[in-house]
Amino acid sequence: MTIDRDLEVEILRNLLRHTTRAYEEQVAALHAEKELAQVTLASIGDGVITTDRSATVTYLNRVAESLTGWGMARAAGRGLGDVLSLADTALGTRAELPIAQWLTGRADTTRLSGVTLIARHGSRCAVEGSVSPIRGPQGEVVGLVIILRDVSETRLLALQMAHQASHDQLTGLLNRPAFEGRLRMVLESPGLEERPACVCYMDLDQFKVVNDTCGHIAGDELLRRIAGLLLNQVRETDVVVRLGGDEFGILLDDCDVPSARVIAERVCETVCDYRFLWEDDVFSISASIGLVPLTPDLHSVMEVMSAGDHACYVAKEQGGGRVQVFERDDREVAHRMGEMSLVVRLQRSLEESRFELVAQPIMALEPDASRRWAFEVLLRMPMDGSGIAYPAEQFVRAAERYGLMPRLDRWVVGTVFRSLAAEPRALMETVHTCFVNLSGATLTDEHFADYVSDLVQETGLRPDVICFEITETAAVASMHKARRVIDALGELGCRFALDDFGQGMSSFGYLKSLPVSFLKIDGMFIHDIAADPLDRAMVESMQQIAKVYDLKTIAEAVSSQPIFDIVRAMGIDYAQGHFIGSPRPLATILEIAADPSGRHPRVQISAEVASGPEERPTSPAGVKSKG
Amino acid sequence: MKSMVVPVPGPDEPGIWQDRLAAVTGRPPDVALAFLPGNGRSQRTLRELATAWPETVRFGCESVTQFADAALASQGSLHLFWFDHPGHRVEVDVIEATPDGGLHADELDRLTDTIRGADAVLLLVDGLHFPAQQLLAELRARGVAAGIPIAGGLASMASPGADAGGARVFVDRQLYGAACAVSCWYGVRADVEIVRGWSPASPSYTVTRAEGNVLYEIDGEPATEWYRRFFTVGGAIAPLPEAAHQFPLILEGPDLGRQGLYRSMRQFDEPAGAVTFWGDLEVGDEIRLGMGNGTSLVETACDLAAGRHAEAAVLYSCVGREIVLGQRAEAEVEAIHEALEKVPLSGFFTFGEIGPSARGPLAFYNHTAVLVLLSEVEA
Repeated sequence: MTIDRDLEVEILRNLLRHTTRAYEEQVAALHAEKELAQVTLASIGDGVITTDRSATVTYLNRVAESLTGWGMARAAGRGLGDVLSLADTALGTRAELPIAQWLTGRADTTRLSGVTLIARHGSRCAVEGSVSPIRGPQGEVVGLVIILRDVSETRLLALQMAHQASHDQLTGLLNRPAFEGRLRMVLESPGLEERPACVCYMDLDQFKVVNDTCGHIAGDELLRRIAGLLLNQVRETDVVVRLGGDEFGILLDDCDVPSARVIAERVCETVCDYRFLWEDDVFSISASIGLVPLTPDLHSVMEVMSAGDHACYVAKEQGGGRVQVFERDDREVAHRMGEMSLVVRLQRSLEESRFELVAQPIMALEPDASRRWAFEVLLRMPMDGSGIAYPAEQFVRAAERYGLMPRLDRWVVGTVFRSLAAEPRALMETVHTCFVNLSGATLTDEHFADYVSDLVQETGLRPDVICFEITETAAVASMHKARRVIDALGELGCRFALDDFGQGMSSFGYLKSLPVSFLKIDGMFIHDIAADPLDRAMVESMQQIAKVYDLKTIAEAVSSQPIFDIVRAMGIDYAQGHFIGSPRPLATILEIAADPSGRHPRVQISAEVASGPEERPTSPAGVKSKG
Repeated sequence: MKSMVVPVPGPDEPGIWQDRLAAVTGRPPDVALAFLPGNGRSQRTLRELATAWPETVRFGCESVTQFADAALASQGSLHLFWFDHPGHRVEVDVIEATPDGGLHADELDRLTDTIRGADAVLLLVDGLHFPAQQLLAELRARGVAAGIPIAGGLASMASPGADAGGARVFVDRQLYGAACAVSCWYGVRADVEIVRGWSPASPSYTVTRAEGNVLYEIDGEPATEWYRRFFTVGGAIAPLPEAAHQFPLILEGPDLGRQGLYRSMRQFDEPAGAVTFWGDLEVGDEIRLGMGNGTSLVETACDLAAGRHAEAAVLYSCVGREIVLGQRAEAEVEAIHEALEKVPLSGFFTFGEIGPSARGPLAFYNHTAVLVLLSEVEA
């Protein structure tokens, strides 16, 4: 049955009305959505450009307008290539936009990076972003959307960070890693023989004087001035760096040895002629330069730097203010190379605990002392299989130069703690103090006190048995750090002795600031005390000052009965030297100290050494850093 | 293949029927496809056909209005086929519903095997008492339809509610209620076209509650209220389901297998808030009301048939289209017959059509016309 036409028409009207209303609602919803999208696009911090399927610009948000310099009204209808002008940041050349490729839609998103946007009026801005196809319902590309982000600040920051990473903040010169990178490039470049190159390794000779006298601010200023001097004396193509501290480097590419020597000597002379004024003081300084020709037998950066260091050292040893060209057969340099092989042995000895500890007794001179015995622990480094030990000065110097002192010190301290803790308590009660030398490097090791604290916990040894010997040079080199370490060890209960007292004669001032319990009077004042009234007067004054500060004194190098008598008569508290006893294995010393026979220990010990020449405590072996 | 369509004469024309059978001279037809009115004379007509052509494969179904070439018929139409090649043939199987309205799995398996060997399949289904949509789902699940053209229609009757024996199918001399006659054609190519002609007439909505053929809610609103919105005229609701025949539901997805299906309203039950259709609806179906008229339906049919070549055509057109076409019901058949260059054409107005959908075969339609174009293939 069909319905009549009027009814059909009315139903159609209903349908039309509802369809229209729905359509209007959809249009309103779409409009709202579009508004929201446009507000969103306008609000976001990135530039947005859209195009139609022919890459004709249809929309730019405000950020894109600002970045491109194109207003929406002007840009709309133009080709994307007109509005979006990009250049390759690295090359500086204009980049062709692969618009046809983008419009294929094969890639969902193409990243834009390393590009610079050239705005309508020519200004440039580093940008990053992306290009993505806009797809229709069937997946076909109906346009493009380009996102642009201003990364000029980020890129600038990255450049600044890269600059900071490769430059020395104090002088503005390249730093050591950057220098090594450049040097590596030169070493790895082909044709080094046809295109010679050299490296200068420069060390200032009197920098420490300025630093110590006027403080580090003056030292820093001096380094800045020296950097300026260097830059003025080298060629434009040369690379000048601060290697660290008061060490500088110069990479002289495309420069043979004679030319390099001319430049290096000019630098030396310039530094020599320079006068550094600080407040009312005028300082003369000089520079020692090791010049290393980059020959094929120097394979690595490390070898070059080591050769430069050695040559520089030789220059300094020969009085400073000169240039030393590195040569393989140079005796001095060969000596340094020998030192390097010693370093290898040192490292192996450390890894395999091949060191030996000996101890030299120290006797209390006051007759009623209940515990009369003390000793100084010294380190021996036996040569492989020979039973002979390396000269202490030799391996200590090598260890200092190659940064091994902290490890050596820890080995000694650890071994001492464990050895003493293993002894019977009764024996330990006869020992007054065990003196252990600490190097300057350890005094700046902020973790050393923790290490000692752990040893105290581990061994149960009374910390006050241990007295660390420090030299004024070591303590003064980095006073703030040294004070922190000394204070931390002091809190644990350890004590301190100022070693080689009197050597520098600036020592008295430091007595106020260093919390020491003992002064060890340098052997140079004791050797001739029986014959030299000046030495005698010096020792007397040291003794008086020590009493003022309530410090105990120890006379080093007591090698005879007359000397022994003199220092005892002066009121010196302790004596150390071959007359008292020569260094013996630690265990032997402990046994003698604990001898219940009551015989005078001096006789027991000194009888062993009556015929030998005076041997400084550090001579047989000792981790003793003589400043 | 040769074919011809013979209108069945009315009860007041007994002599004419004999004359028409006698006019078919020479070799008896290989296949006689009959569409007969459910007026109680079907049995007698089947006997007469059996007597005339005992060896001919005879099958068909009852319907209210039949097609005989360019004309509508009410007393039945008979489509006779002669194959050129002796091996080409038609085999007919019958599957009956179980007493509770379901299907036997064994029979479905047998039917599946039968269909798999055929070149084309025509289904004639009891339009009232057979679970046609379940059969299609089972066949789809068994994958039988892949590559085989399958089309058909649901037999119709004048007053569905009266249940005067139903819209039955028949094979040989036997009439079957609650059954489906499955004719498998061998050596025959069948092209199936879905004739639509309806345009979207409302915004899109989503079915939110439905069970089988019964729709309860659209976008959370009772389906009856939803219909009221469109069909209330002058403060009163238009007669339903009649008024809805001109505004079928168009299914638009989102399931592509259901895209392009139509649903005709069968019953509008306002107290229950339920609207029953001749085909199923599923929750999630996106629907619109469609609209059309005689012109759009006829033109669509004409466009689809134009230029197509066939040796015979069978048309299953929905009774809903007949209602919309009204006085122009014959015009659709005429137009198709004309467009096909007067190829012998039979068929009937159905209670539902079967044909392929956009995503595959065996979809159940309302309000469409399924046109099957048959040609014998070379041996």
